[in-house]
Amino acid sequence: MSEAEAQTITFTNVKFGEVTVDRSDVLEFPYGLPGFERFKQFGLVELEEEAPFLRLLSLDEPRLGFVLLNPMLIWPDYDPDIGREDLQGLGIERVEQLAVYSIVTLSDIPQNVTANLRGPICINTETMKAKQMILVDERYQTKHSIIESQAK
Amino acid sequence: MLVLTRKAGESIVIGSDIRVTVLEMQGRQIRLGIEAPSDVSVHRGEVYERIREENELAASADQHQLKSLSQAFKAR
Repeated sequence: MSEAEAQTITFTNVKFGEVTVDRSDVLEFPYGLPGFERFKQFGLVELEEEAPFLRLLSLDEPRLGFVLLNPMLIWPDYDPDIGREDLQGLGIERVEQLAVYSIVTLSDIPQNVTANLRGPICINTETMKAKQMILVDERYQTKHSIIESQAK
Repeated sequence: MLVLTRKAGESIVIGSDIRVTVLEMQGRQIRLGIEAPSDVSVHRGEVYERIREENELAASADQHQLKSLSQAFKAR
């Protein structure tokens, strides 16, 4: 195996075909995600033609793939109150280590494309350990329309 | 399902390190205190269910939908 191969992982997703990611772009979800607890490893894929969205694709289950968005692009005031214990669980001690994304639910109807602001994906960008948080905060719901918010 | 009857001030222990205590009862509401290790997530059941349901709706993202969404986004 060449050095370049050792640093990448190739896997298949039914909707995206064959995908190659750098090992440094593989996220480890020690608890999986609610509903998908068995799947711990996901590749984070960022492509210019899909910006500002990213793919979060399971390395283990070809039918499992999410779309992520930096919620601050649409909701600059987004301010999720993430518990200190949750952050410690990810080994996050400084805000620079933390990246926050929202899962996007796609639809053919633009108004029905929504972001889940209640369950942000938090990533320790140094270790790539990640967890979907479940906020207590009632201001944020699982469905916030992206198009309607963007038009404001 | 295991069903136990408890009074205010009494608790149940799950495993060796999770304790759920009935703090008080007010009409139809019961206040519970939960002690658990920091790596154990504790959530209101209905909020957890909403997250799980939304994850299931979002879990089979489609490449074509993603591309057209990105194009629509950039056109704005």
